[in-house]
Amino acid sequence: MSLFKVFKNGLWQENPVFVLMLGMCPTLAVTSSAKNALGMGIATSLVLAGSNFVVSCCRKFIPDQVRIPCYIVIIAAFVTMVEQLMQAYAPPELNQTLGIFIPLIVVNCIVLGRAEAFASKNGSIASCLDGLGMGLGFTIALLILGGLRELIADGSLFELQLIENWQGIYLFKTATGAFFTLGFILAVRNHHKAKRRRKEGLGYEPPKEPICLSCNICKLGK
Amino acid sequence: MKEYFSLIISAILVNNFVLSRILGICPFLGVSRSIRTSAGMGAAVIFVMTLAGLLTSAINIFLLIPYNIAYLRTLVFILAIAGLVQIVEVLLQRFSEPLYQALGIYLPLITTNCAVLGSAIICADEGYSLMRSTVFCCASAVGFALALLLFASLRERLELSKVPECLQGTPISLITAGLLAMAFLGFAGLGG
Amino acid sequence: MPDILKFCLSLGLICAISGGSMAFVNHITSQPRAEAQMRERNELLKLVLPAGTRQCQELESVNNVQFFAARDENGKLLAYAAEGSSRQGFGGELKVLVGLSAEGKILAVLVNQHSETPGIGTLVCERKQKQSLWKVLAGKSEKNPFPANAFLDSFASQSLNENLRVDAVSGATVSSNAVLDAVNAVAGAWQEKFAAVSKTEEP
Repeated sequence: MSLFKVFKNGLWQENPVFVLMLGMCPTLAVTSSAKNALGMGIATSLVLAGSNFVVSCCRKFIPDQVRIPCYIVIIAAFVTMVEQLMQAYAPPELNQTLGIFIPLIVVNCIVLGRAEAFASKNGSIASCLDGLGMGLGFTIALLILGGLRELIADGSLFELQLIENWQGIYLFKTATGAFFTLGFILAVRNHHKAKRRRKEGLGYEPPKEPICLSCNICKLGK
Repeated sequence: MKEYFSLIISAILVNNFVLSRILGICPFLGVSRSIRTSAGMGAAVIFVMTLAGLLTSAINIFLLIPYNIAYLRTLVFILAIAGLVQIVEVLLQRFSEPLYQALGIYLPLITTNCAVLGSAIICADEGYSLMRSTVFCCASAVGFALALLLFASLRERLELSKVPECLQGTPISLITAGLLAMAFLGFAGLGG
Repeated sequence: MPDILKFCLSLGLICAISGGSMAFVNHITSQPRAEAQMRERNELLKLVLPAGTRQCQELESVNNVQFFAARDENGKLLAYAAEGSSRQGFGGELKVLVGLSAEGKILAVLVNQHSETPGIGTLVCERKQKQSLWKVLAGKSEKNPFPANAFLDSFASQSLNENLRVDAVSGATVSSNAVLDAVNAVAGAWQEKFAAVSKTEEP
């Protein structure tokens, strides 16, 4: 696989949110506005790229049996560093709204899932690019969700009013709005898929239930 | 006493971990196919989260804060939780076969459940005492189990109903979860 | 046995390296982090204090209410600020920042931390001005750092030495009362400690 393909893979084909259904908690929790979504996306991308790179560098030295604890330690270190850098240089209201979701990147299945599924088997440059691609895919998904929610709730994007005198459907700023928005985005995706399959003369196939079990971590329990 | 009562009500209903704070969505969506499994998962989470709350806040209060190494918090907490889950698993297997049969398969799923780490971090951020963190974590886990059970019973009904083609699978589950979250909005302001 | 040793060694090594790098980043960011915190607080304080303020000095806290003294370039006392909190809101703790004249008159009120319901509770908590995208693109937009909020502004020019009188916003009674409760906490602390002192302290 060429390096560019590795990078592009995470953007759409294997988009972590819309296709792999990974990292649901931050996806739903911090997308109440486009700005928060962007902040979270960037933080996660940094952690993904960094931890993928280091995991891939260390993959030869880490014994197979203790690899998961080792990956968790590496990821936790990156998360802590990103958290501290954000506290120092990011806008303060961003830190306040993202709050505990920055340290919780540690248990985001995307990060551990990519370390296990990609970085532990591939070279360091490819792993870093895979992390960046996945991170960008995650950021784009968060931005779509956050943008839609902010637009419906406030009629604005990045705190700039798009629709004047918008009454506001504030429900979309709460958890309910998060579930609804993601549900309807996935419904639209399903609809498109079904339409394409019909065009190709294939029958309707009910969508699979991907849900977090598609990340390798949960399989460890099996 | 009154203080703890309002803490418990707030953690279970008002700031429900899943439906208000949005933590622990993966097991919420993944293990809610049937009431039986969700009850097992809920019990395992209550068990582990209470112990984890006690352990992590003890580490935080007696180790991290006195030695001024609070920046190691995330790393230490996740390792402590992972270790705790391992030990609990081994102990259950050794001493209580029926309990292990009931909860065993859910335990490894809990390590990467962000509700457990999330509750530990919330306790550390708010500066709760040892007793308060344990109560808070236990109540939050009960709230998680409650949401999981409610959602599982809704989904069992959902299996039998006709759902529009494009909404089948995950979308309808998410929308159902949204409706449940809307119902829980009604608790806002209770015992705050 | 050597296997176990190998596991422990590799895990220990990774822990040590991770811990070291975390300590390093913690060390180099500790100064900027403290500065960022200071800057944020000073910017919020500036909003509730009179325009001539040059420096803010942290005073003692009374009943969990933190007081600040604002002075101009000559060190003359201009005003006070105080941060009070209430737990009666919808979603946990709510904190207000109150600017006070030396006689205990409220200059301005700002809610600097809350988790009230979006759209309802935020009506009484937030001072937010939405800039129109079209005006920004046309270059006609002006940024107002301290937009009006009818409820918060109704506190202005009341004295802390008397009972505060504000009308709760209908539909957001709980949040309104939480704000009032927080300002009352400031008033209580003010009466306890400052009312007597501020008259005698040199200007």
